[in-house]
Amino acid sequence: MRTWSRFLGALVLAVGLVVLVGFGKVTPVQAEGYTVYVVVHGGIAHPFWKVVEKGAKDAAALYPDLKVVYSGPDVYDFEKFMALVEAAIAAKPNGLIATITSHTAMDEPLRKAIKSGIPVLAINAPDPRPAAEKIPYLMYIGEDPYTMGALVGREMLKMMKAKGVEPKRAVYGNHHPGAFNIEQRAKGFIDTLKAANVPAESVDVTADPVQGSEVLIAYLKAHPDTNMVQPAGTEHSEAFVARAIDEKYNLGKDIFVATIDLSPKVLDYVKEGKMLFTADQQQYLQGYLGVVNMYLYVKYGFVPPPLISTGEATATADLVPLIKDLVEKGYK
Amino acid sequence: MSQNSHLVRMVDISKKFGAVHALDRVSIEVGYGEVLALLGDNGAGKSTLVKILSGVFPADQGEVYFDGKRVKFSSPQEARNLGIETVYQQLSLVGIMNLARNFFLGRELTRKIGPIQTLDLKRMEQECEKVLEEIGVRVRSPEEFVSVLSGGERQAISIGRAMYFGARLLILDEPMSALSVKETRVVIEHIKNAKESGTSIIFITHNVYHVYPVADRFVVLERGVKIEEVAKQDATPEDIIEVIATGKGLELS
Amino acid sequence: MNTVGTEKMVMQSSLMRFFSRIQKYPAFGVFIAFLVIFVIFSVIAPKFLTLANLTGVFTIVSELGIITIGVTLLMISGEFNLAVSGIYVFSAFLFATLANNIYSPLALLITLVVASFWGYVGGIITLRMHIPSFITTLGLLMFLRGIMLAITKGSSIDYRGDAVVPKMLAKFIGGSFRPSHFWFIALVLVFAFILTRTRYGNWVFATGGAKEVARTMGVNVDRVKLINFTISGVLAGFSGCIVLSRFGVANPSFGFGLELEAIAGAVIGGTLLTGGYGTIIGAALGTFLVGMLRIGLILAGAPAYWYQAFVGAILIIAAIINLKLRRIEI
Repeated sequence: MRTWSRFLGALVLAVGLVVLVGFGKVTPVQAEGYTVYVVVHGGIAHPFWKVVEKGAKDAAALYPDLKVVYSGPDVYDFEKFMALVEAAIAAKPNGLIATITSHTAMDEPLRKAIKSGIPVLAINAPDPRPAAEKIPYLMYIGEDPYTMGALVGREMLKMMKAKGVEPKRAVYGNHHPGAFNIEQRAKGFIDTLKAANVPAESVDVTADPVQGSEVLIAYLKAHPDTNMVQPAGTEHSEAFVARAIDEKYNLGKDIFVATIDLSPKVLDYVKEGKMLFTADQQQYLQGYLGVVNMYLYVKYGFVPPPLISTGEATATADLVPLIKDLVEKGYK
Repeated sequence: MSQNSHLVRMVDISKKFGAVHALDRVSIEVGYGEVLALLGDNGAGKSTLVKILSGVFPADQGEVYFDGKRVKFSSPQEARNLGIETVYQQLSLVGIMNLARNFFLGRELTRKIGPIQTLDLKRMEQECEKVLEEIGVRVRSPEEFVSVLSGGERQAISIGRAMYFGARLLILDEPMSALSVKETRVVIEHIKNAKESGTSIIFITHNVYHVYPVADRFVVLERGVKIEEVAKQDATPEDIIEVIATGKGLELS
Repeated sequence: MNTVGTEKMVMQSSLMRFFSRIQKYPAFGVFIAFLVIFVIFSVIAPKFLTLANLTGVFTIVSELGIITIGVTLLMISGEFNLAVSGIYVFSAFLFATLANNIYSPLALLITLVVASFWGYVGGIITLRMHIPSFITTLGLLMFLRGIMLAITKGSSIDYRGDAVVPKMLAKFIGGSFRPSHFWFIALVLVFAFILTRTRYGNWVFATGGAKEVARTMGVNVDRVKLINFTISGVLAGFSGCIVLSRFGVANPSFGFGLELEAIAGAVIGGTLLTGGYGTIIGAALGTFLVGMLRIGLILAGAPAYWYQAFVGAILIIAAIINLKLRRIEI
């Protein structure tokens, strides 16, 4: 039994070390120069967030007196994310850049940090409350979800009309019902279509792309006049397109599909004409411009604009080769 | 005295759990067709002694003889194979299964369909029904779940099952503790029937009145040590209670 | 004497007797529920009763159902395996990776062995360390999904292997039917037989119903549970290979939440969460119910987000009905 307790002790020590090394990139603030922490909800192993990281690191390389510490949980985990935010605040950096994943949970710690003299800058996910109530961060850089949804709707209508196809009905796949940014995207999409007199509604496609594609196929069967589909995100789109082809739907001729965010498979589909385009959040800019604006503020006191909306681009078939190249290089 | 005059002989059995002496050189014998009452307050070592006999774990020291032969069990299955069956207070039947399946649990009757061995449910139900009739438990069918039976009926069935599988030694571990007065009477009848068919019985309880009607001899344990052994004609229930309560043998009181 | 009255009484009593007889079958409750919902959907949803739709539903039900069989068998023996959706997606990726390089039937075999390993691991940790299986397999689920994400970095995998296994498992054969439908039915029949007509099945019931009683009667309780854990792993892996064969692509989000749908199907089908009681047929019917619910609601034009509320309500109602039905004595 004694060997067991020793083994357990060693295990606890080892785990503790791994946690410290792996997560707590807590280094003391430099005496000279500036230190800025970037904490995202991630998971940072996901390619999407690797691009944000590259943006942040590339911006940091511009300024020799700036050190940027990028952190987040390997796999999305809200508790771990909050722990890292608190750790970053405790390190007393010159500035903190964070995703406002939950404005309710992050309100208190961030307000305290700002009061204690640490400026906060929000990227990727904003505080949705009106100006009087929301966390007084410097600015928000990222997707404005309503705008993105509207963009998808607008571009789909445009491209379909250019092909001479009449938009009859649209469906928006919601894979996180209740999540603020997803709901806003759906609303932007649906409002845009309704304004163009095209009936549109959103449907719960669950977090499982396999079930989601079944739901969408069933929807198409129930409403055969539907010719516009936004399946939710890249994972659902990949499954849906495969499924729709199996069901012998003529993608790109009778039914048009577009989505938000990039993935190699989705880009292939866009190139092959199975999907019209995908909207690009340009998350590289979130990391890059976040760091640049924060540096200019803490060093020179330049006050940035309240909002930079990075999600205004669409990846269409002609752009795919360039984009794929950029994906390889980590910019997208 | 020849080895074969007793079905069971446990000689100088000792067992320790960690630093606790559960049993310290205890010896008992059970004759053929005899009912031995094993008594003592909680923690006396009664359950430990019979668990050694039924193969749950081995003794640290001492020998066990069954039917004249030295035995050392490495599993309850081995004890069962020799005809040592145990009936517990709660641990004998699965409430959520039907009677027939319970009856043959671990010893299921099978028949072959081609190369596959399947349960012979029909025969299991028939055999079970026969036993139920013999012991007088009335249920609609052996497909009834055990949960519809009362405690007394369950004990009767457990005993009937042990007898069906040819028990030579029936160990009853606190069989009456959860039963009503009426049910206790009925189960005592079943025990008497078992005894009459030649089965030896070890009856564990801490309530003398439960066992007095059927027992032939009484052994009292106190903290792992045998402190009294007496035949029925030589002691009243009150005498025995006195032994258990004071922890002292009859001659000393 | 009122002859019409007596006739009615005779009819009623033979009806009652028939009713009480089939009521004894544990899958009875869920079968009725399934019929009722099926009829309702057929009436209110115009496209529901088409061959295309029904076979579509059958496809999802088969993929979920194969997992549910393993989960049910394990639940009856008193344990849970929440890692099944992790094993499912892991197997999809493993199979694709292997089959992109070697003969697909060999890839399938290796994948199934690995899947059974994951099932076994969940079991051995639970039994040796005496941790509730709910916790161990929850941890295993997070572990599997986590390493999936880390290895694939979130990207999907394409199937570029030969057509042997996909044809065997998932591609359309004759009309809208797929091999997976038949695999599902075959597995249901095999495991229903094992559970109800073999010695092993009896041990499964006893292990889940009263573990200590089973042990005293000589049943190797740990071995029974370990075997069931392993089976749940293999079946989850098999389903993962089927879904990969069907889509030709897989990404780490596949199967998210399937473990709970499997349990829901089992419980709606009459399996007790506490173990010791349940049927494979019932679980299969429960899966049908869960599987056709979402599609039926969409086809019936129900508002977008009703599915979750519906399944939740039906789960509770089904559990209550199953419990009550078993207590009624006529």
